Amino acid sequence: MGVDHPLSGSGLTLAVLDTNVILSPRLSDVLFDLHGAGLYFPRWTADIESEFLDHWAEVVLAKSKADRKTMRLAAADPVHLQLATRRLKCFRAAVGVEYEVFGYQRKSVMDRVPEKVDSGDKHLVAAALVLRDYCEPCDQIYLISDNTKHLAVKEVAALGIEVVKPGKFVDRLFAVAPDRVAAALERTITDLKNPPYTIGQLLGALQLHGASRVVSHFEKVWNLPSS
Amino acid sequence: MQTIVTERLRASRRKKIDPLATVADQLAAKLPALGAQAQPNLLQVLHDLLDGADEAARTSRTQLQIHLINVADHLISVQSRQPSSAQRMLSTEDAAQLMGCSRPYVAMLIDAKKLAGSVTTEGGHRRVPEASVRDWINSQQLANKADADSDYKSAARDAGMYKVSDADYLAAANKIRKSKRGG
Repeated sequence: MGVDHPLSGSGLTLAVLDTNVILSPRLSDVLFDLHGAGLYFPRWTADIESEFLDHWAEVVLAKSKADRKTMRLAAADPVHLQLATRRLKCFRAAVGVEYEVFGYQRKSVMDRVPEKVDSGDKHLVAAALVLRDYCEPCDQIYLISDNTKHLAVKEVAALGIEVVKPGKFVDRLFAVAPDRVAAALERTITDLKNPPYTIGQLLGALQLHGASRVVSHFEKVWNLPSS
Repeated sequence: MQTIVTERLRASRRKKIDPLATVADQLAAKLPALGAQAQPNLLQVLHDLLDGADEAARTSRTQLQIHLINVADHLISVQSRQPSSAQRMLSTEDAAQLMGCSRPYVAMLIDAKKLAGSVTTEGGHRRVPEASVRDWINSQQLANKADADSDYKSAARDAGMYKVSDADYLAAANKIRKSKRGG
């Protein structure tokens, strides 16, 4: 079966997903369901996985600031680590072996990361640069992060990589493939039955991540009050 | 003495398929000018040359054996110079087909030294040993068997991830980011 990535014409759409994107439970479901609908290829690195495992319990399980501090200072709980690893492995299996980007730590790659990129985020831009290097000019490379202000959007764009917030990425996909995005979002809802996930909750999460066009469209389609 | 040996060989030829008959056939085919009777005549000549107990026949047999050994040595040496499938070097395109991956991904694996023994030619073409490709395929098959579950929603539900709203998640992620940056 051929690949049809509507954001890239005849090419492919590849997106490096930042840790903050794959950690977010609802957002990552949507992004992986959009991949399941054949709209793009998600990619990440060993460093991103390591950050995911480091912060998973703090973000997902901590109920208070004190909890978070305790979890940060304590050695990783093996049970938490197992739960986080399972989620990661499911992401890997859903995407297939090509999920992982290699070679981004090489000096020749790191040296090309714009200076304005925050030092803690250089590895993300380097991973996107590796994809840019190996892909065809017609392929589109995205870096999806909730934290775009540390990623020197303009300078990185000059390297052929678009840095976008996750909601904007969903909006862009919707603009070119509304039916396929609708099918993916329906899957996000219908897959979850116990406890169920409502359309309102989904649109609330998408609104939070900045997918304003998608939210506005589906509020009308699904007769929900506008947010 | 010579007569007895020759007679025994002739008797054995009558009972069994004569191995020299094939040689005579092939000689006759290569020498059509000798006519229709060439095969039996050549067969007889071959037996006369090789079957006797005299010095000339012994020399012929010895020389023939030496020749056959030389031929066998040569063939073995030629075969050993042919790369076996394990030693064969594949292009990224061929490796990608075997691995069920894209060509750029294979190139990335080679450059990241994930496929042992890979090289880049002077012309800039990447080559990877087929054995490395087979090893990679085997390791992936094992990994896939161990981690075939792709139901990320069940994994999140079982871990209690859906108890956190995305608003709480974002707030927590922001706090972690700030603490990491000393903000």
